[in-house]
Amino acid sequence: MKRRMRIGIAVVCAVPILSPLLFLSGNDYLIQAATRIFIYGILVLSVEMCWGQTGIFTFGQAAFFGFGGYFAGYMAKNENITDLGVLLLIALVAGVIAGTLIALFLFSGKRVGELYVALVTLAISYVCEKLANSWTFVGSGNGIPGIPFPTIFGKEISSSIALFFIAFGLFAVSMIICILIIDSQFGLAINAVRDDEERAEFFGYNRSLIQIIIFIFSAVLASIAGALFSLSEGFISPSSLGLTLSTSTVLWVVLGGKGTFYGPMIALAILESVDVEMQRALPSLWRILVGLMLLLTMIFLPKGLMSLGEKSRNKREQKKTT
Amino acid sequence: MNKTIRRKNLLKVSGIAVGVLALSSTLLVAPSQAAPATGSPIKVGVLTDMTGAFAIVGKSNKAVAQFTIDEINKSGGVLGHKLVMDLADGGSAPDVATQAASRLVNQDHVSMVVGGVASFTRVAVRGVIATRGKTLYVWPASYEGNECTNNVWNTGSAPNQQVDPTVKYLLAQGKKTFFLAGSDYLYPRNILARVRQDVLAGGGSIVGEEYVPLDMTDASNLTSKVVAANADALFEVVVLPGTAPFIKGVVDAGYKGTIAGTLFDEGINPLIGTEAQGLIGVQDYYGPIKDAFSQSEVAKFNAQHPEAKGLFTSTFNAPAWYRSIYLWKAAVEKAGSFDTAKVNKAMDSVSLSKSIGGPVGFAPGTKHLKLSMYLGQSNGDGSETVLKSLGQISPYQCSAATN
Amino acid sequence: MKLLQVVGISKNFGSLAALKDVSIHVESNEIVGLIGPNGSGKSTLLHTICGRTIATSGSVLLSGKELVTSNPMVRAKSGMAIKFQLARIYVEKTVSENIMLSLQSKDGIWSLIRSASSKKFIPKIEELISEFQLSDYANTKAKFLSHGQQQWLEIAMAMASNPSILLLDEPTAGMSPKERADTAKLIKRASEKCGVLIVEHDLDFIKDLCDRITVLHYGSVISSGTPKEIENDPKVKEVYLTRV
Repeated sequence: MKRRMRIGIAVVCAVPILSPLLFLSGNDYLIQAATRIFIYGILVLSVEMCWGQTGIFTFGQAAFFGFGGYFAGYMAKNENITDLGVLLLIALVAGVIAGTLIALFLFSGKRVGELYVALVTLAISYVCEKLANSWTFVGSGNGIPGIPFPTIFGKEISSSIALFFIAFGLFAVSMIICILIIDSQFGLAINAVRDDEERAEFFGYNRSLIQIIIFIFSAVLASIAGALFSLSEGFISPSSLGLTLSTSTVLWVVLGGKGTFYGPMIALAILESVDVEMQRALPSLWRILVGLMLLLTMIFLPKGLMSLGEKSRNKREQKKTT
Repeated sequence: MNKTIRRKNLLKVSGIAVGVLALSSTLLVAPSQAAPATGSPIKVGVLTDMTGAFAIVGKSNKAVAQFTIDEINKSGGVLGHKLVMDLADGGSAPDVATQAASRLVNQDHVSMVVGGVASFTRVAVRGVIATRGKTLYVWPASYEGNECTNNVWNTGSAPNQQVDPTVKYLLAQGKKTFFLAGSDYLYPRNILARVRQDVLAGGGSIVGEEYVPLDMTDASNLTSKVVAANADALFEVVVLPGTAPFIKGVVDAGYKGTIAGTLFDEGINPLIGTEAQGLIGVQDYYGPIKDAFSQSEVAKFNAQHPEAKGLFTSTFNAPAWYRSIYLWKAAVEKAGSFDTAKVNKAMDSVSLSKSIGGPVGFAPGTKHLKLSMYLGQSNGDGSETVLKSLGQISPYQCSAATN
Repeated sequence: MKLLQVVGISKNFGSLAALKDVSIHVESNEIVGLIGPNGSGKSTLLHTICGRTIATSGSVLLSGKELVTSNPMVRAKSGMAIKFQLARIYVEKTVSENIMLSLQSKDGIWSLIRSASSKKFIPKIEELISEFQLSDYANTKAKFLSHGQQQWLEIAMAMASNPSILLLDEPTAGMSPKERADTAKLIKRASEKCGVLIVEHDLDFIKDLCDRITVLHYGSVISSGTPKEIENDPKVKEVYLTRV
């Protein structure tokens, strides 16, 4: 078993063992905050798969997140479909459709630059936010509030702990699937596309199909995360489609180190944990500090915080060979 | 050899995982609050936007909340308990606001939450606070109406309280044709729908209705439409940042009709400049209203905040914030308890004989206030002239509970 | 039928004619050299063969199949493999992974997704890395290899795809004499399995290695024949003497 999978399994086992500590505090706010970290964790995974592993710089991943959130939220509120499985399936289908349309537009033709992809996806996220903001059908600026709790076999899931485990469960499944992909033969191929897409074509790889598959896959992940968000938070609003969330996601990935798999998720967990308290302690300074951290990381650690560990590993490896 | 290295890695990794989790929780953990002991301080959740687009409003909200809480504490607190402000930043974004609201309700166990600047914040947090959190939520903003959720209480003005008297005044002035213009979202659309209804009922006619994007700054297109229509009156709800360029454009293009709206007062007028001269509106408070209590209270407030002139204005919801906390105090005292269900029941009929802006009280069954309203006319120097004190105006009815 | 037949290739970049009616062919198990001074168009010709650029006119036939307008993927699947002038290997991947990338490239994407195990490739990987003297580095990231080893790795990767024609762009650039000699041996061995086309500007290196040599100058073929014939061709001498 590869190192990445061992860590993954360790995390998956550690959370249920440690989480009772969280529940014992009886603090719903903490449980909800942790739930949100797992939900955003799925979103971060989707960007890591796209950008970190395949080199597709998706800067507008929130568009898919919000898309799934709006679809599930609308169905739950207005069509009385509250079964969690059905709602997640709806989000999955929505993600496949939206992901396919955009993936075909971006990748079915000639190779396009990383920056081009970033700008197009960013623009899509921007347009979606604008659209949701002015479309009364989905509540315009107010979004969809008062989304009912999901149900499983007709039973309402309303406790914070249950929602925590649903979010964690989906996160764990998504993470393990991502690890299986990366460690598979296909994973080698997507890394090849990331590192040198032209070279991959010269080996006979269908570069365009590989990019389309990964883009759709990550759109589905983001969409499911969004559905989970709208169901556990009880609302979805245009900001969940838009630039702020899109850029936050990229920020987590850059800070943690894109391509390091766990780095982005660690960055998310740390930043989200301290965000509210820091915002409270340093109301005007905190955002600037985060920006500064990002800047310093990009200058001194272009591969993110995780590259610190990587450096020492590389040194060891080099010593071994020489 | 290889195996031991592997095991070491695994250990290290689990160590990191545990560390991250532990760090996350310790940083978040704060002592949780039990039911209030006698004489212990009571937390008042203050949710407003200290950062982001509405930070300027948040600054006013926080100052007014602190002022009001200090004043209540000076006169003995509520049921013998001192109040403390528990401030949470909504970040001008609904997802930030829900997290902040969740902290107030689920971690700090505040007695009630007052706050929210934009409607999208209200609809996002009311579930966390009022429905799932079973905590009283007071929404202190002039807004588009229809908020009738259980445990939620509206202390700002509803559309009819501003619009009806404004249109009535315009019609009485002999204005027959109206042009409606607003930003493209829920609040302007609901306000202008009410205007349309009032104008048609009063025998006037609508010659044009236009909506522009929220972030519009180039108003020339809309301006030329308004000027071309040449209506007797223009009713406009174009929000910042578009307000100033739009009104300046219309006035400078030689529009001769009367301009009315729901957003003019001492807070906004200075942004418009000399073109603000003659703007008509109705608010629950203007600087020069003839109410001795209001005058002395605002003077006290301004003395505490010499650095920021214009912090206490109606468009920043300052009077609503002030009365929100006093109304809740009155309800707690009436109920004799901080229990949400009991306070919620008592809220329905509490009133204040004195408040900034004049006497107010809940119209039973409506979840909205009977408010003292004033007809005002803006001056070129940013100040307001009160044309008429309109007395208490009843709110519209909450027809059915919505969510 | 000839293995690789390139007929009448012309390539214009705007008004500049980089290649003028160039023809060349390679038989199975044959090593053909393509030489010429810098700017003679030999790299451009290689690129029109492998699909990096599309020829303005002409024909590229591999085992009779027309590929002149095909994309690199189709050409690779038809049996072409290339080693670029600057080694384009995956430096962040191990030597084994690099080889595997090439080995599995012909599998369809769906079978790649389904198959988690790469065991079936292990014997082939071991065979290739020992052939290219990389056995000690199987699990070393390619970025830690020496310059020469990286070149060999790329040739090994090309051979891993079991090509019918191997295209080599200056395979010995920057190598020590010892490495050059080893490389020559490796190429010789590779030619037992496929046809080889080598682009070089160093006549000395390939005259011992190649069965036939074609000389390009200003985008046209000025000479073609056995190494002996080429060496004695006055036109070639002129180009090389005036140039060097």
